[in-house]
Amino acid sequence: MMHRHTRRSLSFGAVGAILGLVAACSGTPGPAPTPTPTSSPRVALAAAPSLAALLSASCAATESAAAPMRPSSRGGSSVAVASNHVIAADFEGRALDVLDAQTGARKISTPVVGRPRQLVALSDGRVAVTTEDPPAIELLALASDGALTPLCARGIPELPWGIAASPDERELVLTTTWPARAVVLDSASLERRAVVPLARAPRGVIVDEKRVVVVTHLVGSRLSRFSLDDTDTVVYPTEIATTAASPFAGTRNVEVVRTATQGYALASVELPLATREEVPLVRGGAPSKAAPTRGAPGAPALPTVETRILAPMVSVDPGSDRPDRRSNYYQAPGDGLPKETPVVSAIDASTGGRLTDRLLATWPIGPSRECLLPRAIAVDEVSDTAWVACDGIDEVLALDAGATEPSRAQLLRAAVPEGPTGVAIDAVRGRVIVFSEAARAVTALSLEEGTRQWSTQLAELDLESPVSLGRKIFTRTDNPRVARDSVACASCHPDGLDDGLTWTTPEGPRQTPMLAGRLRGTAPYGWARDKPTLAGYIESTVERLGGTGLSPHELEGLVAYLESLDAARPSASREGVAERGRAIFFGQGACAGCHAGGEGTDAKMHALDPPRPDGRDSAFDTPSLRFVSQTAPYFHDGRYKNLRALVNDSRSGMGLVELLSAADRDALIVYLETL
Amino acid sequence: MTSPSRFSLVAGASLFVGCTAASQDAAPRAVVVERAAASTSVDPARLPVTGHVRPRMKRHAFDFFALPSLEAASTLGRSLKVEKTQDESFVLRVDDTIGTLLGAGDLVATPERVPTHAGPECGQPGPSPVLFEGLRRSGWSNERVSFVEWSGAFDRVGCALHPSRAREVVAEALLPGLVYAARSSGGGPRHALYLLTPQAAWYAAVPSENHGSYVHAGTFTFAALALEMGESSSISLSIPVRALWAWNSWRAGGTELVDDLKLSLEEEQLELFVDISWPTNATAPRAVLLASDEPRFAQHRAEEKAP
Repeated sequence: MMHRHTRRSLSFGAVGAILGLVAACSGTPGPAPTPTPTSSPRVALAAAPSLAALLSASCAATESAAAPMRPSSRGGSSVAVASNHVIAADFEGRALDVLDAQTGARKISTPVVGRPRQLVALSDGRVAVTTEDPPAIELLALASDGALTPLCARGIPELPWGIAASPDERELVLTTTWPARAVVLDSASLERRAVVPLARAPRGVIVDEKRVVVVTHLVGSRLSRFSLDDTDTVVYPTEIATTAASPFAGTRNVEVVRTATQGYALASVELPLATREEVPLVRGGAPSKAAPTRGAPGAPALPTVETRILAPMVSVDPGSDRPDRRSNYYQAPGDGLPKETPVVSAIDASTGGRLTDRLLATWPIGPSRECLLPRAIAVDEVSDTAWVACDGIDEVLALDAGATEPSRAQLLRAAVPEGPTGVAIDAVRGRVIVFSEAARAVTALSLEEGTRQWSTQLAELDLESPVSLGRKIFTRTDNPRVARDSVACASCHPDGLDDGLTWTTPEGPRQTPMLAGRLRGTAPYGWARDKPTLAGYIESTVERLGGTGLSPHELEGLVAYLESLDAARPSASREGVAERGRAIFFGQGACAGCHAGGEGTDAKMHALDPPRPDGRDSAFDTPSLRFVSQTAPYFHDGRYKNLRALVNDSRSGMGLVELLSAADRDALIVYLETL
Repeated sequence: MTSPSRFSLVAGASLFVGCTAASQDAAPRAVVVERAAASTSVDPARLPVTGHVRPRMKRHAFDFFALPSLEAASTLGRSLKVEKTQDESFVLRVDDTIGTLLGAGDLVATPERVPTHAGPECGQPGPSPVLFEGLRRSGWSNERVSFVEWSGAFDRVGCALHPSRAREVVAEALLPGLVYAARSSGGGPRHALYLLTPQAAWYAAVPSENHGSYVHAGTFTFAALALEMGESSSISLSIPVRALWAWNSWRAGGTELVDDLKLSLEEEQLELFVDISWPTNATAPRAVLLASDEPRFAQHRAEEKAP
C-alpha cells in the first residue's frame, strides 16, 4: 500500500543530484524558547549511487567502519544514534545526514538509492535503510569520522517502510505497505529468508529478545506478531481497541468499543518487577506458606523484568448508526471521550495481551493540544521514560513507560521543528534526538528537562510557499479554524491516505476516501458530487467539523498541498494475470463504463441500491480506482471489507462482474491491485 | 460508573446537603473562538486555542505493601445526630473530624458499589444504610492523617447515624500534605489502594477488570482502586486551588467549607495521576503517583491561604 506521499513541490532534487542543501552547523547547548533550527554553510555533496551499481556489491562491513558501534535501538526510525553520530533519513533530500551527536554539527550528507524512510544502525558499523522511489534496501558502512560508504542495495518488489534488526543482527525485518507484508532478509547478503503476509497498512516494526516480531498498522486497531523462527504458521493480530472508562464518559461511551488508527511506531521497554521477598507469589498475593517466595531457598528462578510493548496510537470512535448514538463525524461529543483520543497501548510482550484496555476520559473542556498524530517512539531505559514524537502539535512528549496508560502519565513536553517523524535516545549524552521531516531538521533535547541542546537544519525551506502553509493546515490538530474538537485533516487522512473507517454522519455512513494522488481530474467532489471545486469541498467539510473557517489564502495553500500529494507504488508486477484482468475490466466485466480508463471516473452519480424508504438519495459518486487495493473498506458506506467481498457480491452492481467465473474474478482483482 | 451524590460536612460546623455531582460542576463550557479574520498563518502562537494542555508531571513511585492498612476499629463511634438549621441546612456534629456522609438513600456506598442516590431524608419512615468517611484534624501533618469510616443505619425518623462498623487507618503521605494513601488489609486475592486528596473538581478512573473502583469527591476525595495480581487500575484527578485552600484550612483547625458548586476547571489545578499494576510474576504491584507542578502547590500550602 502506499506509504508516505511525496511532495512534488517540496522535492529538492532527483536521483543522482542533490543540490542546494545546506551544510553543517553547530548549535549552542542550552535551553531555547523556540525550536528554530540553525542552518549552516553549504557543502558539496556526492552524487547518489544507482541501485543497479550496488546490486552485486558485497554487503559485508568494511574494516574502516566505526565498529563496535553502540546503536541506540534495533528498531528503525527516521533517526538513529550510533556512537558519536546522529544519522537522519532525509526523505526529501534522498540522503542520510550524519551529525555530530555532541554539537549537532552536520558532517556529511550521503545520497542513497531512493527516498529514505527508516534506518537502523547495526553494531558492526553498518547502517541499513529502507527507501522508496525506487523501493529498496541499502546497506552503508559508517566510519568513525561519520563518513557513510554505500555497500550494497537490493530492490524490493513491495513498497518498504519500517525496518528492524533481530537480536543477533543476522536478520533484518522490513514492513512493506503494498502489498502488506513483513519481509525477513539475511543481513549479510540481503537475501530473502521469509515473506509474511500481514493485515492492511503495516508500518513500525521491532524484534524482541525472543525473536518475536511485532508490527504496527496505520489502520485497523491491531498489532501483528510472529516469530522469526516460525514465519510460516502464525500471524495473529493483537486487537488494541479500547473502551472508555470514566464517570464522565456517560453510559454510551462506556459501552463503546473504540477502534485505533495512526499506528506508526512501537517500542519495547523492560521494567523491573517489584519485589518484596516476604510476599508469597500466588495469584492475588494471599498469604500462603506453600507458595514459592522470591529468593527463598529452592525457589525457582523468577524473571526480574517485565517486557512491555508500547504503541502510540489514536483511539477513535467513528460513531454508530444505532438510534441512540451520535454522529461523530460532524459533532464533537459533549461529554466523555472525544472522538479522537491519544493512547499509548501497553502490551504484555510475553503474551501479547493488552494492558491498556480502557481509557480514562480526557479533560472535559474544549480543544486541547493532545498527541493525535503520533509518529515515533523511543524509550530511555534508564528512567523508563517513553518519548513520543507528535506531528500536529510539533512536540515530543515524555511519558512514564511503566504506566498502564502512558499517555496519561506525561512527565515533560517540548517543542520541536515541524513534522517530527523520528526519535532516538542518546543515552551516552543524556539526550533525545528528534528528526522533523517537514522542517528537515534534527533536534537534541535533554532527557532530564527536555531543554534544547542543539537543532540543525538540513536544508533551506520555502516556509512561505502555499504547499508549506497547506501542510501546516492539513496537520495541525489544534486549529479551531479547521475543526472545533482538535482534529486535523490528517486525523482521517494520515499522510493523505485514509483511516480505513466508515464514519457515522447525518447523511448516513460514509467511508473515508484516500486523497493522495486521487484528486486531480476527479471533480466534482464528495460522495454526492455536489462540490465542483476542491476548495469548495474543503469549505463545506470545515463547516461540518465546526471549524471557524479558513481564509482564501489558507484555502489556496491547502488545495496546493493536497494536489501535491502523491503515493508511491511498489515495483512488483504480476503482469500475466494482471493483463488478463485488465482485459476483463475493459471487456466482459464492463467495469470501464463507469471507471473510465481504469483509474478514472465517469463523473456521474449511480444508484446501486434500491430506493431508500426514507427518501434519501441512494445515488453516489463513481470514485477513482487509483490505488484502490489500498483503500478498504469499499462503497460509500464501507460495506465491503475487501475487494474480494465486493467482486463476489452479486448485489454490488459492479458492471457485469456477477457473470464472471471465479478465475476471471481473481484476475480482475489482481488487475485492480495494480491500479 | 456514575458520579456519586453526597453530603459535605465539616466537623463542628454544618452539614450541607449537596447532591450536585462533580460532573455537573465540570460540565464542558462553550469555548468561544473568534474568527481569525484575514489570518494567513497557522503559527500555534497565534492560534486562538483556549483549550487544555496536559501539564508536565513529576513521578513518585511508592511501595504498595509498605502503606498502612485500613483495619477494623476497636471502638465504634457514638450515634451522630443530624440537626436542621434555621437556613434549612443540616448539621452533623462530629468532634475533630471532617467528612462526608454517603448513601442515606437507596444504596450503601462500598468499595464495590457507588451510591446513586443520597439524602438525609429526615422525617421519613424507616432506616437507611449509610456510610461516613472522615479525616481527623488532630495529628494531621504533612506526613500522615487519620482516616475513619463508619457505616451503619441512618434513622430517618430520629435523623441520626448509628454506626455498626468502623474502620480506620493513619494514612501516609505520597505527596506531603497533599496526597495520602493506605491499602486494604489483605487476606484474599483482592487488594485495594486508598487515596485521600483535597476535593477534586474532576476525576476519571479506570477500574481493574474484576474489581472495579470507587471514588467520591465530597468534602475531600476518597478513592479506592482495587486489583489483584495480573490487573491494573488508574485514576486521574484535577484539584482546584480553591479546594486546596479549604483542605489546608481544616488542617489548621478551620472549618471553612468548599462550595463545590463553585469549583471550576478553569482555575488553577493540581493534577494527579495514580497508576497501579500487578504483573503476574511480581510479588508486589508497580505503583506510581504523578503530580503536576508540585513546587507551586507547595507554595500554596505554605501560605495556608483561605478562600
